[in-house]
Amino acid sequence: MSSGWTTKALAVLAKDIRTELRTRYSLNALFMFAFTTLVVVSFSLGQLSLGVQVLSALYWIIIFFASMSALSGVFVKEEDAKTAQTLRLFARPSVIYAGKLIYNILLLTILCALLTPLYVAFMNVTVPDWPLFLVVILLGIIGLSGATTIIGAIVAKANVRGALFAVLSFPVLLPLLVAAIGGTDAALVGTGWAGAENHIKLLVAYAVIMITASAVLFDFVWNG
Amino acid sequence: MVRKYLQIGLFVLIAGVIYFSFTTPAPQQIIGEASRIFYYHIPMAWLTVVAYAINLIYAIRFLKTRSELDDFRSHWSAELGTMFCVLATISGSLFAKVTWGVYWTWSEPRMLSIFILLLIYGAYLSLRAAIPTPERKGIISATYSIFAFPTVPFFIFIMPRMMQSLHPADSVVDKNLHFTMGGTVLPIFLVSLFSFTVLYFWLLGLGIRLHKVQLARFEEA
Amino acid sequence: MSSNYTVMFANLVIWAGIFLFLFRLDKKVSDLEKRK
Repeated sequence: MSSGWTTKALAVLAKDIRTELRTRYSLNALFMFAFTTLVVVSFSLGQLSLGVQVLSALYWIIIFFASMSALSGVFVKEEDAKTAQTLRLFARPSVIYAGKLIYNILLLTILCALLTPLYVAFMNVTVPDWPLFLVVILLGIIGLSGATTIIGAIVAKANVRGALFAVLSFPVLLPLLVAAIGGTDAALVGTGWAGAENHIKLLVAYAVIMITASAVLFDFVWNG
Repeated sequence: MVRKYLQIGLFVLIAGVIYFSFTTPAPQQIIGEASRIFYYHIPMAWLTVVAYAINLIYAIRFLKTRSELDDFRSHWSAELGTMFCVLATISGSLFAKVTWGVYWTWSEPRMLSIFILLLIYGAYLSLRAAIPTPERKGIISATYSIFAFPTVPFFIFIMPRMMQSLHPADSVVDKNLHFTMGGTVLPIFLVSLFSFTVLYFWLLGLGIRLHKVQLARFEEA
Repeated sequence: MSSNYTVMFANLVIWAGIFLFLFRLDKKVSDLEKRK
């Protein structure tokens, strides 16, 4: 039973990866949005440098808005391509959700892998604590995907998708943003794991709560 | 005609609150006259939370019963909650302007909490508006209500503790408020809280009764 | 101090109005319910 579950989830994931590699719509949208924002900020600052807290906030602002522009795609594209019904027949809702969740996490990981070096370079960031910095980013990505995947499913059948996705996501994502920015701040300032402790606890708790709630509620959204 | 007497009684209570809130000494001496707004502002904020709780309860019930009535109850409570939330936000903002000189500040945890509720209500109503089919409307919005809920305790309980480490001064406002809830302040406040809560449930009931009547008429036709 | 009284009277008038509206609405709904 469980091997059937995992293979099916991985099949959903593999299909999405294959489709994405063919066209790269989502990756392009994510990266171009993030990169453009970074360049605009860096360029307009010129010689001025930003304080550490602004830098940490900036990183997550970029990730947040990039996600808002592209992450709803994961379910919307199924509706548009009319493949949603087939997907419903293919596997149980929890399988679909798992596959899509991992897909979103992967997308964001690739985005951050590309963005972070550019961010460090363009904004002249010194990172005293790389492990902490990366761990916070990873936890933030997981939390972000955990919260937005189900919202993507919610808006897939609605009318004004793009704006609605942002409107629905924002209140839910605020705790994540607070924790992620705080954790990144600790990594950049150098207060280390002790300083980031509360934020990391929050990030983990957030990811667990959001993914659990999504897993429970996804069935209602997916199958009505 | 018990109902009529209860309604008149409620009006007497609220009129009493209004009268005494202005004729007794201001609740908070340091802030002065502007502190009178707490008699109204706090019940409004309290009711936004109550309304959300009711919205949540009926959302969960709806997912089980799939009864249109439960969905309506959930939706109607959200409408009322939004109204109270807007009133609470505006009254809070005016109070902030008079007391601290700014209409808005992110360092005050209460402002942040009411803002989050405003966002959630707004998102909920936008979502409902964006879904064409009635069945999906109820299910999807109920799901969102439940999903958005974990954010609320975070901002009401965890954020203030996080912020106190940064802005210890903010706790002074709360401490002072509860401190000076002596004398005439406490009874007026409690009556106000009680009356507005009753008012909310009356409005909630009115909407539901009206909806039931409309449903019955529709079924006849 | 007199501005306090102005605000108070304004409030009383407004709330009296709100309650009159609610009384009538409640009566209307009750009538509709009775007809069922």
